Amino acid sequence: MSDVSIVPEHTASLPSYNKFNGLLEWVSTVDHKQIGLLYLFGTFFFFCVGGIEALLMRIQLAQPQNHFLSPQDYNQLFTMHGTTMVFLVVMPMLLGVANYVVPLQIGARDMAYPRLNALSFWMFTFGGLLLYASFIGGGAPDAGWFAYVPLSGQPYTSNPGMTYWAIGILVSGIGTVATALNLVVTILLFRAPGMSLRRLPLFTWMVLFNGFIIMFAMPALNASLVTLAIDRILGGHYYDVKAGASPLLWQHYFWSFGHPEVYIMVLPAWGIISEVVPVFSRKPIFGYGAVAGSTVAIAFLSFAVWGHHMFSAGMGTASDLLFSAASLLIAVPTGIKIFNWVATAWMGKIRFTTSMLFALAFIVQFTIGGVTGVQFGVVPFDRYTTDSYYVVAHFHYVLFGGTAFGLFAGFYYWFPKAFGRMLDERLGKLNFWLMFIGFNTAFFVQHALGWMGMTRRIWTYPDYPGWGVYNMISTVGSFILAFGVLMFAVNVFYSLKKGEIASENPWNAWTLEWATTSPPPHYNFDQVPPVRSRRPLWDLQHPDKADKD
Amino acid sequence: MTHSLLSPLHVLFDAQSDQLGKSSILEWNSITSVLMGGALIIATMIIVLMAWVVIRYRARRGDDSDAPQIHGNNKLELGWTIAPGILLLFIFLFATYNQFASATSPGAGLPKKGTPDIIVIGHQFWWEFRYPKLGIVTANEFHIPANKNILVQLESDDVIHDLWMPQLGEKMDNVPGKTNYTYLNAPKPGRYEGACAEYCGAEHAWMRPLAVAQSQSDFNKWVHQQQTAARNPQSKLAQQGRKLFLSNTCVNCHAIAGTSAKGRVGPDLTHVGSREQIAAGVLNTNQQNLYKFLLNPQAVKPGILMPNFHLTDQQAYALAAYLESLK
Amino acid sequence: MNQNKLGMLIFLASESVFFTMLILAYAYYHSHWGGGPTDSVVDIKEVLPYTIALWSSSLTIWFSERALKHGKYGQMRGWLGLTILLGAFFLFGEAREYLALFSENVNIQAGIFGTTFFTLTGFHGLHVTVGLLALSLMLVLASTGWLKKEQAEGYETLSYYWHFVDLVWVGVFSVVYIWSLF
Repeated sequence: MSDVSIVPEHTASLPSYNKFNGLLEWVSTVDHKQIGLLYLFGTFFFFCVGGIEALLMRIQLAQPQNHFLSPQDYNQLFTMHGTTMVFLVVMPMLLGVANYVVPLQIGARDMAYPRLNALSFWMFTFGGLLLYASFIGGGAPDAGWFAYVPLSGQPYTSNPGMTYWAIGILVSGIGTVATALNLVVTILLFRAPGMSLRRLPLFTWMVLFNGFIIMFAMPALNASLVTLAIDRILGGHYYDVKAGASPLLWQHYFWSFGHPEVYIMVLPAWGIISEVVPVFSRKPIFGYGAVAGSTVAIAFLSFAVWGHHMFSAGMGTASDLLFSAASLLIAVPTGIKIFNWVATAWMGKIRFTTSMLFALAFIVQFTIGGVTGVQFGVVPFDRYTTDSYYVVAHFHYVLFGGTAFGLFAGFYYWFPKAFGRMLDERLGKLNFWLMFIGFNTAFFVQHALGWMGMTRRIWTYPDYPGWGVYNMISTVGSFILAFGVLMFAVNVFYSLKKGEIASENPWNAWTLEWATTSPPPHYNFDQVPPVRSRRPLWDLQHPDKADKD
Repeated sequence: MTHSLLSPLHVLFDAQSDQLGKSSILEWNSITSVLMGGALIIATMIIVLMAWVVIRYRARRGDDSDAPQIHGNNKLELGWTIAPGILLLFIFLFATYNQFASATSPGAGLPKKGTPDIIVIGHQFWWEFRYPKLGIVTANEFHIPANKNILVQLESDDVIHDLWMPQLGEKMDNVPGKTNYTYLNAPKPGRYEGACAEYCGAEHAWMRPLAVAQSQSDFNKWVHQQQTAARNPQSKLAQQGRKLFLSNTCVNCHAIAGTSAKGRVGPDLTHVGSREQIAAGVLNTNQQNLYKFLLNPQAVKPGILMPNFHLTDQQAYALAAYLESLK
Repeated sequence: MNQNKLGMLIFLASESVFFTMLILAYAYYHSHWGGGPTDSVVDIKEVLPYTIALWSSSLTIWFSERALKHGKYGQMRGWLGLTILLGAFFLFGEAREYLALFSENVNIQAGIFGTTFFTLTGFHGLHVTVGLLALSLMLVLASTGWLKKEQAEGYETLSYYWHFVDLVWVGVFSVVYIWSLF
């Protein structure tokens, strides 16, 4: 039980990275916890790089007709920003958290294939470095993160950047597939005795289905990248319009990966919210079946909605309507989750920890991103707002206001487990409020800019009424947001040294990762507690009123 | 009356395309109003509900106890599955009805009416407008009669572009190797500014079309003027410029009707002096700006495909005078 | 279920999406080859023997797998050797076809047909090659006496891969060679 747990020596299990031996051990590790942390360090580094790229763009856009950046620089920056955030931050960061947490949550010793796990991480890293090597290899990619052909083809790009892009993403993409495979097999075969699939913690459940989506969506991306690379390097004609090729093939190719990808980037965050909200409301999740089941529905539907990215490409009315119907339908299982989270908090005894604040902000911001998402499922509306700042606002509400806030909720929640010390709550609150205010300041006005006709991906704009002011507000917001993220880094450095020592189960949570020391030993568990319901630790604490399921 | 692209929230309250709310957000026969209103109501509802829940059920200081262990409620959950489902079905049917009921939403295919009024060809980084029925070719600025559905055929010469006239209609991509169609309709005479909505390379930002909607009689006058070949200029300076233009590589890329210049790589310059802007929106057309542009196009519009010809001051000045005279 | 078998099956499901994408691209452009060569340059009669060889190797690997399970190591090595020979014969056929096409100036740069054809068959050939390397390794291990009854499950896992490669060829053969007849 948590109140009698022994406080462990906090450096006991992970090698110190201050010593050479320690560093070597980190590089050669196959331990899922260390690999998980490596993922988080690596992705946080790329998060900062991508963030700096965003800030440079916001400086350029702060005023109409600004000349802080050249159009070429701006185009490289927004391409790298999007690519970095999608492929090198959000997706691998979620996989990093999954890598750390999933084996612990299911009472496993490690992942199914520990060496493959290490290989995946290093492929991600080298893919990312290869992408960034383009800066010294002749220029960064500049055709946007979805690389529409023919613009991304050889004749229309001035530098080899897009070739680096295709190969870099391919390398890291293969790593991602391997991680997903690893997670799926681990979850299916390495659960503690008694943990049936119906008793999976929701985070693990979401990671499982996320794994399936990755397994079927990433190959579509890999095939797209292969075709683009063949065109660019070997002189192929997949997308050569003059040879009779169709640019729409690429769009179908890319978005049949790209829309499942949106769910790949949000499912594990939903999982985090489904862990954090119950624990800090002191209630079980409201409607486990609905939350878990709706995830399955989304996993399937996510493969049927990609065409809503192409409503203005001229697919034909039948396709338009089909994709529109599917895109609206997917809002139903998504809505279920939001209602269930709110219902989980209802009648609760809510603790406003930093982690919970991030989770609540997630629900608010994800709801906003969600309702604008529904709008994009409607063809005539989409033809109006697509490629405007309305879209930019929409997907930042989903991916930053949603996933990134979910990740921060997860960081504050699991940090004590990983490092044996609590993150400082005062710095945490400062971190949260700066990010919350900064984020909404930066992105809410972009809805209005979209309505006012501002298209995305423009390096500068004429001095239309209102545009300058709104863009300036957005820029100020982005700096507040960046300052908030900086506070997180400060908090981590401070808390690693001076943070309160964490007990085994500081949040009084109910899943298995809290049944081992903080940080856990290399082998994870001395003894895995019996699993007779979804909340094994609740049952241990309350044998008289144990859960039935 | 002049319209700038938009004053704040202008489109929201004064969208003019058939699909997008005829004149006011209060007009319910508009998919935009339904979607914006619905989104606003639903998001506000959820956020207020959540705010109420977290404030009402916050743990009091020193209260370490657990909450009542409620695991769910099937009826409630069924409710919030079915209710949004019905709402979304309604939105889908309403949108589909709108799409079919509207005469101006042809999407990909050519409507039965036949020949388009305007063929719009996207180029890196300018717009070509060809009027097949009237034999007019112009660039970046096009005129249309107000209050009339204009059938537009969209093409591209290089990469994907997207003609977006926010106040005149839906956006549709200009895809190379494929023809798309859309309608534009300007409710009243005026200037309507637009943009290229699909990222197309270095100067995607400065690829701004300008639509001038006119009364039918004014439009007819414009058509007549555009159909006339360029006259020889009067001033000596401009004549000098004309000679320079025709004897240099300008003619490889640009066309001026009535002269030997027949290039189709860059904008048609037959009536460049009558157009309001140059370089697809960067500068207003006048002799000084033309001079500035010709002296170093890259400085005015970095990334433009027109190279710097290192003209002398005198040459640039003469050419500017000539181009300015092409009304 | 055995961990490696499950992993292999999920991996192959993922791989099948990859090949589906390449096949779809080929099919999407079918009959719209633009200016370059068309699928009339391929000859189904030429590749038929190699195709039969590849497909029958699915059978021989299954025999070798059964032999391994029953501890008949000599038989197992025989069937495995035959599998490798059949696979190599297929690759030889593919190489012959490639060289013939190259001599007619049909290569990956030759129009849309060239690009889609060589990408699709090339990636399949690459998978066959990887499979052959793995099978050869198995033969070495079997000859040194390392590969025993106890490793039968691992060997079966590898055979899944080999069956998959044959299955992909069913798709490729249908869409490229059979379709070229019509």
